Amino acid sequence: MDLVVKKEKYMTFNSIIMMILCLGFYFGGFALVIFKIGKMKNIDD
Amino acid sequence: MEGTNSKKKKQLGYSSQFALVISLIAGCVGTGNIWRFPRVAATNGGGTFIVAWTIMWALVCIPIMLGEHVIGRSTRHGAPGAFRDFIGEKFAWMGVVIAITMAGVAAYYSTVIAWVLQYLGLSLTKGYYGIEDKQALFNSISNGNIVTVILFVFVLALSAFIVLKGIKGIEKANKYFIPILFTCLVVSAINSLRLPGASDGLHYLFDINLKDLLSYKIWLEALTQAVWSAGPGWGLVITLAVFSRAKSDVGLTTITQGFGDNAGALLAALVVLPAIFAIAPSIAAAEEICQGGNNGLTFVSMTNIFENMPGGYLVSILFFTSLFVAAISSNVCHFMICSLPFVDSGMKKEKAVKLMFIILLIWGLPSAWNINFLSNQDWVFGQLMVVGSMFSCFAIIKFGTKKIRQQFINNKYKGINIGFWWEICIKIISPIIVVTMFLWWSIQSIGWEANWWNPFGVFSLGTFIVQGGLIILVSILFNKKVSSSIKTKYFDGETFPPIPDNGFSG
Repeated sequence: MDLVVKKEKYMTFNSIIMMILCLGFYFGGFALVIFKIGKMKNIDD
Repeated sequence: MEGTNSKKKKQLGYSSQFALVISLIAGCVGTGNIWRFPRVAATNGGGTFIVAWTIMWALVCIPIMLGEHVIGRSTRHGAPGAFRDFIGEKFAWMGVVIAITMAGVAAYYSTVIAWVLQYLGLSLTKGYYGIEDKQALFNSISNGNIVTVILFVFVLALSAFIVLKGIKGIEKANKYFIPILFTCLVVSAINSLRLPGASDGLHYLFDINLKDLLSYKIWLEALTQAVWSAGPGWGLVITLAVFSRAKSDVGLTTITQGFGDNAGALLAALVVLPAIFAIAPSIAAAEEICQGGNNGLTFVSMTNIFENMPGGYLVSILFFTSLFVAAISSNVCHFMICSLPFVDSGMKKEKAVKLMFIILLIWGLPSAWNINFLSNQDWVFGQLMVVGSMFSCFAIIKFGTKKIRQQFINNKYKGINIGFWWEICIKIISPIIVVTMFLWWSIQSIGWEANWWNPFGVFSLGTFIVQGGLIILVSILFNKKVSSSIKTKYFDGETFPPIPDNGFSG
């Protein structure tokens, strides 16, 4: 029983870390590239 | 002031690089992000799946789409003309296969949007509240329902109307579609995450077990999700890049498109999974809901959940609005992908759009009336999209990856430098992975029906071989005719030509 509880705690910690990494990577990355694109100059052909 | 106005030239293509990025994101964020990703991620290991999905996205989707961006911008033609001018007259048929594939997708996808519209109406009127058997409700909407047929015609007409306005029309529509989509998803996600028990859904979505990375099934499911969502091989990037400025970035634009697509999928997962796990009576029941198909999850389980969750009325409206907006913005692009080749061959824009409307109307009506026909088309054209990715890889390799990277992608207007890794991916990794995915789904399909060879089976391998084979055969037979029908050639093999005034670009 103790082992199960420990495992669940470990998994929860795992998923929290993973959530921070995933959301940080995708939303942070998206915000960063959108910011860079927004700053680009438009040069006519 | 008058002098300034008279000197002002007509601006062809997108008004800015940002507008191009938004259009690319609108084209690739569709129902696959909202109803497929959360379900597939949850049933394939959650966080482990997300790791595999991200790797597949970076190794397969981004490299192919980078190359496709160059193909579209350098040739300034829809898929058939693009393949002709990029790798030679013998290969225009590959572009024809891609254009026909996207016509097939637009034909049945319009019906899916019609269902979503029906459910949006039911959400507004609380029409599905109190109905015990939600599966029966969905069956009645997806089979022999005249309202679905009327809405299907409306969706096609709306797509045609936006495409008729050209790339400026698509840009203008997306200025509304994308903010609506992301606002609806963010508000719905906040509401779902506030529910008691929502953290179980988060745990299920983000839990990671590194041992699961040894499972080939997780990798193939991750690859499938990435390819069917991001848009390589669809002709989407080729077509939309036709209207991008010659003196602008390629690399960062494509990467932004990829980030936008995946961020949309994750946001949708934050709406769907916490709500399911909060409302389902047990974890086992929540898992069972996730294991249902796309239609089962969205139209049967989610409506049950919305009916029972606090704030469900608002979330239901926002959810189906976001689904509609995501799907219609993709459908508009599908419509453009199959209309542009007609304009390339000299047809007037208006005539091309009307012709495409009639073709899609006739092709899509059986799907609007019968879900089995729709499911069959989904299977066949889903596989043909993978074939499209193979064609794109072939074209990029044949033209020369070194030249594409050094001369076209890493041009002096670049926003990011694309390294040698891209050449390794596109020459070795992407083709191998895409072929593996194609074979895996083909082999899987042998076990789906009693007679795998039956050409009339809904999900049989036989139906794919017959329909896909016929499309490829016809495309090859008409290669010379298609190739010679496109009179204009803009690509000199060395530089991006300026955007031509082809009717859609103004």
